[in-house]
Amino acid sequence: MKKRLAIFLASMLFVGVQLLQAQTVRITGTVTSSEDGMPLPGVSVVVKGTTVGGATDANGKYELSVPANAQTLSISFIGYVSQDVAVAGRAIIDVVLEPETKQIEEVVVVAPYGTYKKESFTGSASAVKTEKLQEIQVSNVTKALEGLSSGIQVTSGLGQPGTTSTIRIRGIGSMNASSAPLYVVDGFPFSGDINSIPAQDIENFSVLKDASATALYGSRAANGIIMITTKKGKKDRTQFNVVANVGVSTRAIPEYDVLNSKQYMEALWQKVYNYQLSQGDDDATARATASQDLIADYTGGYNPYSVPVGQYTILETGKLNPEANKLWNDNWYDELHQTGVRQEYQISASSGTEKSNYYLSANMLNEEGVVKASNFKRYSLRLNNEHRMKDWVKVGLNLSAAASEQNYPVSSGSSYVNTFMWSRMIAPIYPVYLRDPNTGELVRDANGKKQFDYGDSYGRARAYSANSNPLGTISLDKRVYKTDDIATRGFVEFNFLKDFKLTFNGSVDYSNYTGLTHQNMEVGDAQSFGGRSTRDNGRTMSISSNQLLNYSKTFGVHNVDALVGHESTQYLYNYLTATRTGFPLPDLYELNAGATNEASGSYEDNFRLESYLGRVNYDYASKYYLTLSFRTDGSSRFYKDNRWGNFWSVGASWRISEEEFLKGFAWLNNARIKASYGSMGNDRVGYYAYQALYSTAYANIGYPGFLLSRLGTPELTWEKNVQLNTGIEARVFDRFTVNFEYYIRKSDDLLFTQPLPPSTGFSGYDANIGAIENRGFDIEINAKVLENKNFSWYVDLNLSHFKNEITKLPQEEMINGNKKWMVGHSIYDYYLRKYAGVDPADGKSMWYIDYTSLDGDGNVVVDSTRTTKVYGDATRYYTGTSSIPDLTGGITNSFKIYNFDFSFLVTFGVGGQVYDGSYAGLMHGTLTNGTNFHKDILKAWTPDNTDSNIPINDNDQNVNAASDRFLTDADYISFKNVTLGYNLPTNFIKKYGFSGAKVFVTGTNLFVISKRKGMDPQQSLDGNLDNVYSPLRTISFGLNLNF
Amino acid sequence: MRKLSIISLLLVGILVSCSKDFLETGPSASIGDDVVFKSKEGSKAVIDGVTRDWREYHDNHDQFGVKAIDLVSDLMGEDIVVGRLHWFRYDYTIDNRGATYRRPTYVWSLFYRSIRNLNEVIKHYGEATNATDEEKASLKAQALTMRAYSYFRLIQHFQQTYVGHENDPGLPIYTEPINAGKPRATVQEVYDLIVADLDEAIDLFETANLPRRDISEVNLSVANGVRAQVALVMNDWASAAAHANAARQGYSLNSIAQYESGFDNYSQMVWMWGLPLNEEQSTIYASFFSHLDMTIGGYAGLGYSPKYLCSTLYAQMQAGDIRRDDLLSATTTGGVPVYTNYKFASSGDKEFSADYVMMRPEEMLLIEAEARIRMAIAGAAAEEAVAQGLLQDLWDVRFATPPTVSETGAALLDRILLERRIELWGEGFAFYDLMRLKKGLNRTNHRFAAVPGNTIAAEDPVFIYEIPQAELDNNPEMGPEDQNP
Repeated sequence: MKKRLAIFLASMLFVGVQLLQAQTVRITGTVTSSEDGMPLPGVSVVVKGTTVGGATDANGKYELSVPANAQTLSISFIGYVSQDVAVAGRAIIDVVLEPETKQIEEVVVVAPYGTYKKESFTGSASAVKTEKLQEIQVSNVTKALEGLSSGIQVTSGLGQPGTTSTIRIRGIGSMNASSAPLYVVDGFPFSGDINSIPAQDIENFSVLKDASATALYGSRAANGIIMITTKKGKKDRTQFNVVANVGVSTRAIPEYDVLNSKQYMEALWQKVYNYQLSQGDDDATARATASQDLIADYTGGYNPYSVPVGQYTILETGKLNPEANKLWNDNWYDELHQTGVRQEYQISASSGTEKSNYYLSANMLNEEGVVKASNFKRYSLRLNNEHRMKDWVKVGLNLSAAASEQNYPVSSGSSYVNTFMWSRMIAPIYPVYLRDPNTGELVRDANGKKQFDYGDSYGRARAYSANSNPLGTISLDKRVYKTDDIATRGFVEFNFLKDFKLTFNGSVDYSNYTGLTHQNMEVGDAQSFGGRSTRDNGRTMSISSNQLLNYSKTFGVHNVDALVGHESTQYLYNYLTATRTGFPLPDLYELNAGATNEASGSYEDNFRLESYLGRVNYDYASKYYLTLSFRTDGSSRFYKDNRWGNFWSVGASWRISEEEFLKGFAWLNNARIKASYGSMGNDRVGYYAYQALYSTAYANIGYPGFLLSRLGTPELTWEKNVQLNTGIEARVFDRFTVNFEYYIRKSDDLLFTQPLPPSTGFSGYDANIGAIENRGFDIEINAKVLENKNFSWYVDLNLSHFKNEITKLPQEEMINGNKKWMVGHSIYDYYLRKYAGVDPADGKSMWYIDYTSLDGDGNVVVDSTRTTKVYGDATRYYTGTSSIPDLTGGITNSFKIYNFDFSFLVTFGVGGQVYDGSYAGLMHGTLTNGTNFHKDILKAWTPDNTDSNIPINDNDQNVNAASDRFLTDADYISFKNVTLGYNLPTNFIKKYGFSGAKVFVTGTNLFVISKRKGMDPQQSLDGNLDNVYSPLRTISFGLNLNF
Repeated sequence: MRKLSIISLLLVGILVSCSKDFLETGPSASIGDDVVFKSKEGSKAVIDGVTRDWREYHDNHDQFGVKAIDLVSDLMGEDIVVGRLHWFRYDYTIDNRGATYRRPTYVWSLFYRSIRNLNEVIKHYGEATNATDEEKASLKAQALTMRAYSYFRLIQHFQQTYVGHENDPGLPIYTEPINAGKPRATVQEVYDLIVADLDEAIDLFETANLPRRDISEVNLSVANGVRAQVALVMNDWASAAAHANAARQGYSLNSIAQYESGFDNYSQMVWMWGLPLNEEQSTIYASFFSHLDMTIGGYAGLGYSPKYLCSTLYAQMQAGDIRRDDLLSATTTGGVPVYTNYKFASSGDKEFSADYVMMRPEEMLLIEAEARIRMAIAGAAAEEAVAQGLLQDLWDVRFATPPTVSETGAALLDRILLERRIELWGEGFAFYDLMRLKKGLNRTNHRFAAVPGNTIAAEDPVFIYEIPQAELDNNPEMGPEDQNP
């Protein structure tokens, strides 16, 4: 009281003095940054509550004449925390400003139709750290997600640049419809290709996982949502940012251990020898026949060795003739593949004022794959712009355009020219280039160029895919995909009656691709046709608009936010294709040059959706939160009587740390408990999911032809998905944040093929019959282990587990490849014949068989310990394993040491098995297909090695028949990303006008530790491994400049 | 004023609803079942759809419709030697019958898909508002003929031959388009349906008496021809002879020049029924000519799986036979002497869009000849001369200087059966003949062994397919006990 009185009196005095003399005083000082102690130019220094003031000069110095009664100076600068400093009679006032980034950033969750502060959000969402996302050097942001968020499963996908990884959020929500999440970009579901969005343009990447978070997308939300928000200009001075990355790519997954030429020839001899024995030959005859026929009958005449006249390459002992000379040593893999170069450059500018802001960026990416000629190039531009026209009207437009080109030689699938399959599977004895069979010398063409060996040279017929050579095909064929994406989002927002806001949003996604497939006229599949070209074109146009009315009001401690709206979506896809053959010259590939029409066709798909939606958020004293959402969707996919459906959710959270009884615990910074429940739908079941349809694509020469393609299903409707989420979240000691969530997702009315006996002419029809459940937990732990001026260490860990269980099926069991669906089992439980090892007597495979008999009381007894050598007779069993890992996760360690920062991301999976079909293919029983073997074939049963678990190397189509022999544990540890960066000293870069400069080196997909060399345990969700394009390991150098 | 405008905007915003038919969309490349049968063109289009499906590519390069199954039939016989094991290798080695294997599933689903579509036609063809009675009769007759053909092909693969197995389990029979599975009817019941369908079809074709649209359309001749094939399997010699004779009325035998034209172009030969192709509808590598024709760069011609005529058959051919002297060329495969066959030679003509032969007058002649000599052996002595004369008619167009048919009795029967192997080589008859004749398999001069010793006894279960697993799994009327041995 006394003090106040004194101040009052003093101020009165000052006022009096000022009135009399308008007295001023001079104050000087320097403003520096706390980061580096460097002076800050252009800082605003004003007397608080007045307009009196100025700015610092280039040396950070200011000099002001202020009224003598000035009490407080306000010092503010963009990017720094503003400070108020008491004058307290001083003449020199130096100020140190803290950069804003040092503040704890408010984590924002982008939810449907709005954003939330994390602590007010009742749903489940993971905000992926975008700076991590941007470090990972991929061409498609989906490939960078693994390990960065809990609750998601991401496959490694294909290495072909530009391709998308498969993502599942919280288990597998559907069995036959899509289980893929919905992608929402800047507020509307995105129908373009996600690879058209550069990671550098992404501001916020949220994974929405539960009903409260997703229910407002109704019939499309059942499998979770990935919300991508692109950057906006901040209220800031104009900032420029340049990012440049240059790197190299190699294959991330190494090759399997396969045989070399000598081993291959000996293994093939062994196979022929065993085959001859099985044909009734005696040992001596079998050996002689094997040695004699090996080249002529089994390699197709190719022999990579020369031997003295009259001698065999592989002797009757089964060993390589010691006098054999290797004639060539061509390496198919090396010839077909390359080290790719990856370059990405981005420049952006952003700025903002109270009235408007913009973000403008240009990006260029050129990523080469490891298969020769495979690449992905993208050019993109983005302008995000908002403008407040009047205090009650705001408009905005996001405009992005991307053009990309992808070259994709065949590198997956079962075609012979799949480069990965070819280089893995072809016996190493075959030359890449045309060589003299006797000397092994290259046979060059008239211009001295090497020529390809197409497997038919010198009257031979290569046992592996005669008349083709993928290297020749790659250089002569074209497989190009060009895509143009234009995505626009616009809005007009009106504020009125103080608490109301009306927003009209619109989006137009336009995506157009042109494909060209050209098979050359000189060799390969189209040689007989004079070459073949296919042009195809797909145009996607998706137009959505909504009208949203918001009401937001605070009544004391009550905060209410309500939303109602209407939305409509039209999706239109047009497809056109044409093929011609008969090209006159090798360089011509456009249809015009082709002589003969071979095929053409077109179709159109139409999808429409109309919706009404509403939501209420309520909170009491920032302590208790409640969210209610509702949406009703009408979908053109279904029959008119089943077209409309209702979707809803309820979510609540309690910030328990705000309660008085916990206020005393200073170490508890934040704690809350949350729960949500709701119902969503999954409509991805085809566009006309009710009509009985005849396909019109069955013309018989000149006469139209129809064939029944779909049985009518007027009852069909969307899949329902009911989700419960509970969670607890806490921050303690201002150091550790823990978030634990447990969920139950029940999918019902699953779109299923109700199987029919094939004798009805159909294998099934669509019906809503199945049910499946996913239960699991997600854990996210963020720790600030150390945080000092010059050394900091942060750890982010996330763990996910889910259990998938089928709860209802149209019939007791359904066999689906090497899985069987039954109630109580997961969608990915293996069901296979059980390998019982090798009969030590003859080396033949054995499998278990159920033997049924009656016991003394007439009860049926099943004996499962017996074995059979007849594969077809063997019983199939649940192996007790599935392809679903027990636990997946990622751990990121980030260090800041002086000006260096260093981080590494390790992802891992524990549990689950894969079916290693590639390995099985290398353990084949075929004599004549010129296919290499895995090294394990050397451990096959022989009369001298009867303990082997690998059957005799002979000609038996069941020698590698599907069984649990090829199931392999899928546990893995993947070194997904390592980044080392160096921030150039500020005092150095300031001289050149930069506000930030960083150089870094980053490695993506460095290596994977798994059970078998060559195996990629993350290749697919269902665990079936195939010969596909290996993911890329990319090591890049980069530069990031701000000015 | 401002508030007023905002409130009106608000009302507009919230009341913006889409028009009533906003949610009505339809496919562009398919047609609803409610539309198809309103016209005769719709029913005919379904028949054409089935016809196309019989020569369409399905998932794998050894699945191209009926001619793929014809090739299987020949490969399961004795007269084609495979030079390298590739596509169709397990058919050739008589090891492709498992319930989960692709081949039985393919044969089953191909023909039952046809049956379903044909049953839709048989149920709805009458709804066409623009069809005359004659047109309706013709539509039904075509559907019945094709349905009978489908069942006939199926039964020969999923059970032993008719004679001696009449009461064995045959096929589930569907005469209406329904989704409920049926149990296996007996072989007798299946043949009863086939015969009834064909007899009705023959009546309807005669009633309708409409001109044929094109060679892919089944007509009275084709119905009679299939009826003759069925009678031959049923050992109903009189019907076989009568229908075979009726079938080829109006068709002359192919001349030497026609026979040597490559079997790839129906307009250059006399065919009773064929599936013409064009470049657009060609299935290219996955086609009959790719797998059998050595003159074009398909699987056979490129050496992936060359197919030859067996030297055992060659040895039984007579000098002067143009099928021997003009169309075969000696070579070896893996040390085994064989003959490259230029009967199917599309090079320089239709190549990968070569037409498929389904039925021609020579087969009908041979059916009639066989039926008549069998009747003669059974006591109708007068038939022997007829049989001799028929064979002579064929020889007259297969030799520059035709020898005279001198065999009689059983020797003539053997000669006619041999003639079938020579004349119809590669046209899909080998397996079906082997089954109905209960000869078993006895291969000599082959490169790869089907089984040790190359011999399989007649009526061995390995010849017939197991019922596909999907059928047993999903048909409540069938269980594991219904599986073939």
